[in-house]
Amino acid sequence: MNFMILKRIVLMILLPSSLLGFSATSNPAAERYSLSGTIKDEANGEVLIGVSVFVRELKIGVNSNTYGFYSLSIPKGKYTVDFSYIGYQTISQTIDLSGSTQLNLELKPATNEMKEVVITSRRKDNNITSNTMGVNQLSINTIRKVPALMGEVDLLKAVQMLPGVISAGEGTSSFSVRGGGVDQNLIVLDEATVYNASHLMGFFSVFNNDAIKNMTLYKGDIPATYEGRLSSLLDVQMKDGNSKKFAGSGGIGLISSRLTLEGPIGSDKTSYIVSARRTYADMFLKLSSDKDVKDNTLYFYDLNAKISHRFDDNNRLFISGYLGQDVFKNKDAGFSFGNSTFTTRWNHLFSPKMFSNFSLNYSNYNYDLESTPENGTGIQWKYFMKDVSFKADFSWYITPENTLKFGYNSTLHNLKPGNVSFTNATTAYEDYNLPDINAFEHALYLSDEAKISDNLSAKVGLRLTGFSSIGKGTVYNFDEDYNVIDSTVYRAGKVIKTYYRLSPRLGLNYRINEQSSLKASYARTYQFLQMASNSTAGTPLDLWFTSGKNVKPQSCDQFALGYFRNFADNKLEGSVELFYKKMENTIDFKDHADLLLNPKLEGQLRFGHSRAYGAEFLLQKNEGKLTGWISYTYSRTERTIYGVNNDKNYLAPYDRPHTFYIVGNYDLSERVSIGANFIYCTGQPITYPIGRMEVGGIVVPIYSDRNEYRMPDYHRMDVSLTLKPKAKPKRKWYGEWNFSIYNLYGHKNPWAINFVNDSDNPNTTKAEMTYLFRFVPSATYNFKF
Amino acid sequence: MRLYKYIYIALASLAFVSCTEDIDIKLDSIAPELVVDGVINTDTTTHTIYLKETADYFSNKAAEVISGATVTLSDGTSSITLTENSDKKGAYETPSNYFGVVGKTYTLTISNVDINADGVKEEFQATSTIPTKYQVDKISVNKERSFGSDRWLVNVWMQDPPDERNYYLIKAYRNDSLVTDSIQLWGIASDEIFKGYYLDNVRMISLEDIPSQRLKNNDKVTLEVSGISEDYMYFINDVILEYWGRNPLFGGQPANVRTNIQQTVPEGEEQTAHGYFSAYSTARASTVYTEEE
Repeated sequence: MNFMILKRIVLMILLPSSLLGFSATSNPAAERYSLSGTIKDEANGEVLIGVSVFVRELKIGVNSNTYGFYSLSIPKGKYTVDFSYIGYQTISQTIDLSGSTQLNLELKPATNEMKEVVITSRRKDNNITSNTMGVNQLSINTIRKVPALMGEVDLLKAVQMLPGVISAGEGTSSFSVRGGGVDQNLIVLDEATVYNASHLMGFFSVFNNDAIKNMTLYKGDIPATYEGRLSSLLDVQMKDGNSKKFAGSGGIGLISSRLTLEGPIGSDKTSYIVSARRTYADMFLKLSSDKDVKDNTLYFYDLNAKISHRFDDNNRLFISGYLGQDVFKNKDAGFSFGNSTFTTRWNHLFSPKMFSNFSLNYSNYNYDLESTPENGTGIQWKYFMKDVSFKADFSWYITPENTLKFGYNSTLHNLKPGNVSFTNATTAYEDYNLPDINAFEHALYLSDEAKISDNLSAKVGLRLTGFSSIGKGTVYNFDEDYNVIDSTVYRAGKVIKTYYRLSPRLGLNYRINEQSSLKASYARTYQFLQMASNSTAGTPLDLWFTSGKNVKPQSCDQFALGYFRNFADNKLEGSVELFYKKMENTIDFKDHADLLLNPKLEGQLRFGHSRAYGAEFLLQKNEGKLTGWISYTYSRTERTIYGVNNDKNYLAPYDRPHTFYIVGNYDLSERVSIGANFIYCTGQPITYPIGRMEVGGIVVPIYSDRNEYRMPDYHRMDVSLTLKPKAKPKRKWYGEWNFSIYNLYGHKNPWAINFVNDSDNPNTTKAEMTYLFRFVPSATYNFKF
Repeated sequence: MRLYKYIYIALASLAFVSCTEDIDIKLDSIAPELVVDGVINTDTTTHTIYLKETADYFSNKAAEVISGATVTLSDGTSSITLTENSDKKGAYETPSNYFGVVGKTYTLTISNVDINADGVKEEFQATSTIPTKYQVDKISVNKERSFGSDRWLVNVWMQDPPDERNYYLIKAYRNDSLVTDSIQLWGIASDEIFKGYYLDNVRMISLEDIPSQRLKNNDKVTLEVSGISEDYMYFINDVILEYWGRNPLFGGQPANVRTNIQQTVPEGEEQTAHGYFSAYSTARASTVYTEEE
């Protein structure tokens, strides 16, 4: 690296405006014109995300953005431009650029007959050239190749098998990224936050993949456009709806069924998509002869809907929403939980170089527990939280070597942590309401991605967030021993406490040669909203709370270094990524914390710091008969919290040193394909008893320091078989069968280990292990028309 | 009542289908430590303080008792020495006419012991103040069927003292013998939602359909309602949480049950005593259970 390049990096960090007119390859004086447009799928009109647009003669390129838009500002001249994307046929277009040109394109999906033609990836060497690391992007086509469980491939089940990601446990869709907590992942669906993405039992997430187009997981290098969670961003985009013809797809299975309908409304300027899914485990309960079991209700449903409208080449509008609920009920009790989101987005092109998106989003998460005994007081406990936010995002494609992104967003949070009401009470109990929690946050960000020389590109970002805890609300004041002194009640709108935080981001990509590159990144992130959950698995009974007078924002500094190498003409992608995270204001809970319905929740918190580090190895094959990936991750995470474990360092619950995933799909023939996953993960840290005492007539354990021991290792294998129909041209109805078995060899993976008094023998204690799913089969018929 | 919180834990877990089996785990061990289990209340009777030792987790026998210790009890003005029961070693008793007084602070001192067998005598201390005594006006017992089985609900009529935070310990007797004999069967509550209210036919405890608890026609039922300190209530809560075990959905991290026993001699030693010494006030009311047709 010579001095010129170093000087350019320094200038770029200090003076973003000096980037204007930055050009590494061509004569700055030549006149530049814009080549821009939107890239779509020819079959259904869906915009394609991350299509590589490469200008051969200049050896430069860009990728299409989330809305399928690309923009290149290049000098006048004749060029050959390659448009390539995984699973689609590449189009090479010759253009004679003599003025601002709009070039919209539709790519044809690659079919099996076209095997001889080079089937390219989203630019075969995208993982080498892109300036993002710690990211895994999975298009719906890649996700569909992961073995299906319960008949459909679940998005979060696929995420849980990526390097650096660990499932939080059997029976939940929650996950931990690079040693972080389950509440440190920001999950967004069309830009609205989803707080709890799990359905009952954890086999299904709230994402119905018939309605999903793309999913990207950012594990380290979280873009400056988002903030608010320390460990990851999972960005999920819904399909826009087939704008060419009416189409449908769905599946009928043992446990659940789903249906999706999409199509144009009027012309191809407007399209819609509606997806619904419901499980019916309770149908089987109705067959039971036991009256108590018969009356049980157990189901969940999801509903996704979206309308997209293109006013003209410069304006598009999207309105989308999601609604879902899990319900369990019997005649004595019931509980239900669910999310809903609603977003309205407007894409506007100020010029071929300036793309903007404005959105208004709403999301809520709620749950409800009730006890309805025949005689006696009934109790109902409700929890509700909602976000309303506004976002304005701009992308300025200054030159192909330089893209500037900036924007503003603001969010209003409102949480109602608990409302308990009584029915049939003989004493007139008042409703017990925990005070509301309200907060307002807004942020400005700026981020620039630039190519500094032939081999070096860099990314710099800065985000300024202001987070205020506001009224109405009640804040308890504590002394140094966390005893309540008094409380202060704030009226609506009054600011209780504000935090301003600056989050810088930096990334460098050094291209060693055609097949390999070296990347480095640094990101500082903050988290202002976290979960008060004493459990290690995500539970539907999540309690969120915000930073404020008693709680400082959590912070994380993440350093990452990676080496990326492609083999066999880009058919195999390999990478090694090392990461180190240093976190401050880490939150944990005191021993035997009382979190349920506790308005003085903040007195149960204890604070300290933590760190995580590790290495991720990945080998991925995206083309050919055999596709899939193998990954190994070494990951450690520990923390020191004042007031817990006698202030001594201890392993965090997500310290799982060795994780090994094999995910594969093999096309045996045109009609038959088989898939398998194998997962191996070191056991979770656990606290064991090292002694016992007798009080009050029972034996009580005496424990070691926290998390000194480990549960047995977790491993399982799933398999699936897909039978496709004979390939017939002009086929109207396409149906395939999918059979799967979850946990094929039935390994008893411990979900919990408890030490209990043996009820048969006094004085005797024993260890018990609870495990969940073994040999779970499923059969589903999936169709498309 | 705090009790309802546990209802939610139970019913939400119903949604899960799981299997539980015994497993074999090798555990580490520690040298024996002091365990104090002692209560003084306002009844005029013999009050007992039990001193035991800790043991290995899978020792699977009754705990070793600590014999020959000097145990004294002071009420702030005068002090008595408890007598070890010659038939029941490790049980240190007050005279049978001893009673606790509301408002007084009692200090328990244990000396003349060498638990860690290092040749140096140790001394331990704990204090507890007796809270307000409740007045129970009357109780009733009714049978109910829910979650598929019979239960007997014991309801109370009493006034929660206004102007102060009150904590309750609830036990039940059937024909004058204690039904809720082990700590996980005790009821605990705090008056957060009913401070200052008159509790009108409010359920305090329920008896299950098991041999030690079920009721027959004409059984005498006594409800014992004691005023306890907040810390003692949390101690009982900690023990109950540890008793029931935990599942990953709701349980927190395992943690040691709290204690109010402090080691005072030698000074500066790591605090290793366990258990609780509590002084509280007790009130009772009885009724005869009549089975409805």
